[in-house]
Amino acid sequence: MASQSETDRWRQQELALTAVEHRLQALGEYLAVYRASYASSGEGRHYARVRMLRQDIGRLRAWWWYLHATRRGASWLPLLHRLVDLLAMFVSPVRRGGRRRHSSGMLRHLTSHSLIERAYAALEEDMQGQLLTVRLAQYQRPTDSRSREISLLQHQLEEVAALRRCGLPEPRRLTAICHILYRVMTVRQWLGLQLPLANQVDR
Amino acid sequence: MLAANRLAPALESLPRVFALSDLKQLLPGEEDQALDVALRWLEAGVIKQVAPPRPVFFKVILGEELDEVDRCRALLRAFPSLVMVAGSVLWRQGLSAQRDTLLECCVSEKELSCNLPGVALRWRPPAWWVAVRQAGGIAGDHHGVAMLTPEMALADAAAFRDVWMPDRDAVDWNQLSTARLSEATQQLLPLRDEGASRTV
Repeated sequence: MASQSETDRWRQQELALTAVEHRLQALGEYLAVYRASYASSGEGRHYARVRMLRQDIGRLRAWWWYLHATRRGASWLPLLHRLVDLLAMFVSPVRRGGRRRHSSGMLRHLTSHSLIERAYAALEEDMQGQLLTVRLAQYQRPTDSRSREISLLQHQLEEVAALRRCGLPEPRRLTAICHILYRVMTVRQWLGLQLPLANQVDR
Repeated sequence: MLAANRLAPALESLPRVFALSDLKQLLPGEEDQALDVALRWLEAGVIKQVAPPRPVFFKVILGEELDEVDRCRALLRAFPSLVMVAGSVLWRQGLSAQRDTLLECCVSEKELSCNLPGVALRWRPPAWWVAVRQAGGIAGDHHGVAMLTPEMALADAAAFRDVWMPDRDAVDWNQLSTARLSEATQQLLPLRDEGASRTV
């Protein structure tokens, strides 16, 4: 029984890492294209957008680092959790006035919780798209192997949906974790130390 | 039947190009139903997936082809970071006398099937986006789709050899910068092998 729950936890961590890695890859590519397309225009709103995307990428990388560390049982996790317990009460998971809005337009700054939740939701939607593709093919030309693929995809989809619904810590704790690790990563970068890197395109 | 009738207006209220998330918003709290509705529409042939398995769709309307704006919108929703390349760029920037028959764009996804008429997707490694940015290889956009500079389009076509290019005589070489072409070629050189191994 214990081993089953251990396997489930392992599987959930794997899905979470996959979701964050996919999102990092997508945001990294988008940032590269956006910077090349608009950043040279010199308009303030484009710089603001680039800054915001970089912050989102930074927070996602911090969360990736946390997930990765949890998976391999890093020795510094208890210390981080104690720090999070202390700081979480001072952290506002929702920015003042809801989401912070940039003065120059429709730019919206996502909370860390929303950012991570979106990454999980994006993976869920990708899988739903995949399921639709296979189910349509099965409708047109039914095969046994496709039927098994559908069952597998449906099971994976349930896992991702469960991850999005209940696989995230309380918003204050998640925000504290992302902020602390983001700052640690910034300091490590200043000191020229190697950064924990998820697969990503650009910074 | 009752459920089908209740959902019948939903397709009309959706734009020509939409994502699964748009459909979910029309059916709040009934995410599973959104999936079933999308599947029913796909089976009926009233919608198609833009690029399976991406969860983005376009409505199929008899006698009403998707125009260039809708095609670009559909591509952008399916692949937010896609980039237009090759002869498609040269034609739209006025450097080629020959027009492309397929709108060619690059993505980093391995799955390249696309149901949009007149569109072809090509694969590029993730490092390609970094190289393009570092070389300043984007020159504006076409209905939101980022376009390579003409020099970068040429360098890319030479490096990857999987895209259509107009005849040499049909290109206006006077508008091209040799220095920028050389820089673009240098940036893409390290990626050439990766592209070759993929196409083999």
